Order: sequence, then C-alpha cells, then structure tokens
Amino acid sequence: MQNLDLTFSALADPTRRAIVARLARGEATPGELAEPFDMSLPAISKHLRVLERAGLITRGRDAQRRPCRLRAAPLDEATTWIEKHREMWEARLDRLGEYVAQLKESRHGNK
Amino acid sequence: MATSKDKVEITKLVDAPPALVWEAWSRAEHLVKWFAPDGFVCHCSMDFRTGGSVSIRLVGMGFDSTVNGTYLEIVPNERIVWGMRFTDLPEHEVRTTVTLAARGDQTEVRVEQRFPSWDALTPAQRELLAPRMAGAPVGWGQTLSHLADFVRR
Repeated sequence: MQNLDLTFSALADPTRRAIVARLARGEATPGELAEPFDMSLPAISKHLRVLERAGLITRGRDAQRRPCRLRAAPLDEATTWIEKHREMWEARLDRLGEYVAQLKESRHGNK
Repeated sequence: MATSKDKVEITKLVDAPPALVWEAWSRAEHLVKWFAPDGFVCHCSMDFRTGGSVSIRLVGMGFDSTVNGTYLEIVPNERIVWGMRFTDLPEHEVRTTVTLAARGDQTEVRVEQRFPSWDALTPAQRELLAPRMAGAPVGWGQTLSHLADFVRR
C-alpha cells in the first residue's frame, strides 16, 4: 500500500497531472516533458522529483537522458477509488437529466 | 471539479426547473428509474423527511447489494443530505449532499459525496467496498477503462 497522501498531493498540481498523462503514452526525457509546458528544465525537474517521491514515476539510470516512466500501481489505487465514485455519479446524473427531461415532456403533453 | 481522497463533487445542468428535479430525488418511484447503473434494477423505499430512513437495493449482473441510510437534512427544492451504510459494513458511513439551484429555466445539480478515507479501510473492507462503489460487480483488480466502459454500456 503506497502512501495515498503523497500520491494525492503530487497529483494536486495541474502540471504534474499533465506530465503523468503524457507518460501514460510512454516514457519521455525531462527535456521532452518540458517542451509543451514552456517551462525551464529545472522547474520540470522539481515536478519530476515530487512525482518520483510519491512513487508515481521512476527515472532511468542513463545519466544523460534520465527517461521517466510511469509506475502504475499507486496511481491505480488512488484513482480507482475516486474515479469509481466520479464515474458512478457522472453516469447517474446523466440518467437523472434524461429522466427529468422525459418527466417534463410528459407533463407538458398532459396539459 | 474538486478532488480529494475522500470526497467527490459532481455538477450537472439539468434541463428542467428545480421542483421537477426535486421530484426525481424525493419519490422512490422516480428515483428507481435513474439511480441504478444500466443493467441493474433498483429497488427503493424511502421515508422522505429529515430523520426518515431510506433503503436502496441494486440487483443485476450477479450482484445484489443493499444500502440503508437516513435523511439528515431536507430543504425542499434545495438540499438533501443523507448518510448511508452497507448492511455488512456498518461502521463506515458514506455521506451525500445534493444541492439544487435554479439557473434560468434549468437546474444546477451538485452532488458531493464523502466516503471513508481509503487509508482508514482494512484490506478486507477495501475488497468489499471497491466494486460496490462503482455499482458494478467488477473485481478490484480490473482497470478503470473496463469500469468506465461498463458504466457507460
């Protein structure tokens, strides 16, 4: 069991969430990760350290490139728990919206 | 949309006035029509008043689970707060707050659900709770995308 507090505080930042989303498509070097954010390499490295501490990513040993890779386990645990609730409620409120629209329609029809 | 480790907040704009949306929440015969995930049948009994009890049973796809709860606060056309517990996990309460607000001819529905902190659960409780929270009979090990597909089906 990873420490969920670390995982969540690491993911509280939008840049770090974007980095995680990028790494979900495959490994990337810090330079590649910095590109879309208009951020300096040291700024990106700071984010990467936070993600690494939270156990969300691992860094390659190649000193030149240090490619980052997503470590799936802690993310699965944390997101599944929350996302299950979110998915459930989003689907449920979609159905509520459809149902209430039908209700409105039938009331109008009866008038 | 705010996300923390023990709270989910969802907001949706519904194309009907608050009074009608209120009806969908406050009467069992309406609630059962939309509350359950597709592929499930929902049974509900409710005593819709502050302090009244509510019971919701979801049956489908080899899955049968009942939650019992109490309405903690009811403000007509505006707000419903209720706490629910699984019959076999009575020590953990899931608290849900529904807020309705008129937005022109529409209604903004906001749902905030607080549930037991994942850290506070034992592994056995996690096993028990995880699949149910999705309202789906899927194993804990299955991926989120499977789950999302399932919920959307």
